[in-house]
Amino acid sequence: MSEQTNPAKLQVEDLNVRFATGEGLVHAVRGVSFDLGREKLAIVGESGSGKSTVGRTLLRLHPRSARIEAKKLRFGDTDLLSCSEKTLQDIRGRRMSMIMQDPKYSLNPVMRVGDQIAEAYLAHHKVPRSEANQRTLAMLEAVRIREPQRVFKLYPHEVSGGMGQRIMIAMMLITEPEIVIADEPTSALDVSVRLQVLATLDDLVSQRGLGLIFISHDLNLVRSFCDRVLVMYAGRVVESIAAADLENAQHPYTRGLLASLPSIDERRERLPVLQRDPAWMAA
Amino acid sequence: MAKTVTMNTPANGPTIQVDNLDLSFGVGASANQVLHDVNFSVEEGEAFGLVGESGSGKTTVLRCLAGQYDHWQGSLSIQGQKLGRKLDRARCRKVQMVFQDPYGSLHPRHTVETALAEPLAIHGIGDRDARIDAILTKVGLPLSFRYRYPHQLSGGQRQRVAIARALILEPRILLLDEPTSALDVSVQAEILNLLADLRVRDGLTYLLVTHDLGVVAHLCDRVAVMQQGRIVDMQECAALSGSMPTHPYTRMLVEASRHYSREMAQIAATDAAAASRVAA
Repeated sequence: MSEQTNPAKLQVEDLNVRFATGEGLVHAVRGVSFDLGREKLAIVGESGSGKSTVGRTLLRLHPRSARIEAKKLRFGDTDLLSCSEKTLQDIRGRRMSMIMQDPKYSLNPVMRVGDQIAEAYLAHHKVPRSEANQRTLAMLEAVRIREPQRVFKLYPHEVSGGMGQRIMIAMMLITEPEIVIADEPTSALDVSVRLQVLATLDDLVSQRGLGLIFISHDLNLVRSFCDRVLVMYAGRVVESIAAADLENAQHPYTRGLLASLPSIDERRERLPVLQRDPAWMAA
Repeated sequence: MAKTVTMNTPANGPTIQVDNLDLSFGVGASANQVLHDVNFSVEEGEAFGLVGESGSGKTTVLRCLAGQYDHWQGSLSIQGQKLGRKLDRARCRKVQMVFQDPYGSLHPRHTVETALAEPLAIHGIGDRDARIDAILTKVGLPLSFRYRYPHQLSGGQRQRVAIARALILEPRILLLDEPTSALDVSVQAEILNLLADLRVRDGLTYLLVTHDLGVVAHLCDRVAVMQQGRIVDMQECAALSGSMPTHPYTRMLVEASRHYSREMAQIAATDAAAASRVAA
């Protein structure tokens, strides 16, 4: 991929998401801004910090109760806030796609996995079924599934977790999107399988020049896998830092998260417990 | 972490002794052996870790000790007494288990008080109010929480309730099945600190199952690595950090817990290919 220009594919400025609930509005995302180019951007934070909400907002996957406001929410030339549902349908899955956490719940249990991948392609391309099937087999090979012919005909309950997640990746990349949002794509997987799935994702991202948004709570993983990290706390981005510099993070929340990780290499009497400062909410 | 030195064996032998443990599901041609000749022992006051991937049999070992499976072969003993197939009350007083998912392991329509009073009622133990107050204090929960339902608690608070429920019978041994894997890292730190404190204060023996080597290294003295129903490696936890473990599978687990690397991914892929060839 060429590095001479790395224009931001995605621009987010002052994004706010509120959900209407029985007890009033819940302000889930508060003033989040970032740009995404051809890079691997991580969004980390605890459950409830709003990291998944940001990911879903980019594809406008929220229910009607969500109120989305932003100064800017642009994908290439498209304004994601004001564009029609029709335009969004052309973007979703085609130019921007999302890999979910658990293949067990994201794959259709009563449809062969090959047909599901081909369906993703056919939804956006008017091609004969046979061509979609050919592309599916090629894609299964690209995510390093041995015997793609055999796996094509399997149902989701017949594949392992790691293979299921690779099938999800194949389905999301077959349309050759420009941006992939991966929401905890490996947290349901075993260590060795996780490594393989990450390597697959890594190759595809660099070969195809994708922008990847990697939503995770695993700081150790993000540190070595991604280029840049956004740290979210209570709906805000409290720190944006190069992944390699995470060791030198400034914000007390980031430092607290890093310190609370148990480590093989440094044995401590007690793990420091995060002391939450109300000022982080206002910062 | 405060370590109780327990390598000098007490007179009545190890607290947990597992010898030649085999377990199969199914019969005849469709029998699937999930544990193969598992052997280990845990001394009194020791924290022992079992690590491995899904399907390696680590939780199954725990379930055999907890009495959830009764068709195992081999010998299990607790505090020098051989375990029978049937779960009896005496065993429940000695051994209790904490489960992985604090959302699934508490009855959604029972208050904390009901959940904690039930083991006391089953075992005919009186003075319940005082015991519930004491155990809530012990696990760091406010006394007012006894009237709450699980949905009114956070994940970390629920896991504290689950630990309180296990400890209310004052067992000597806790079987911990991935006690922190459903929690955020900051909450995980609190629960790990609580478990470390309780072990020192009450002299408990832990058998901890996890896939996170960081957690094992933090909490445990020794660790056994399981793969496909067998223990393939056993290490002092202190030895995990410095010199590289010699067993390739342990090395992969250790490396992967540190960071993502392409070489490790390559090794894992080669291993998987080899394993599938063996299976085929």
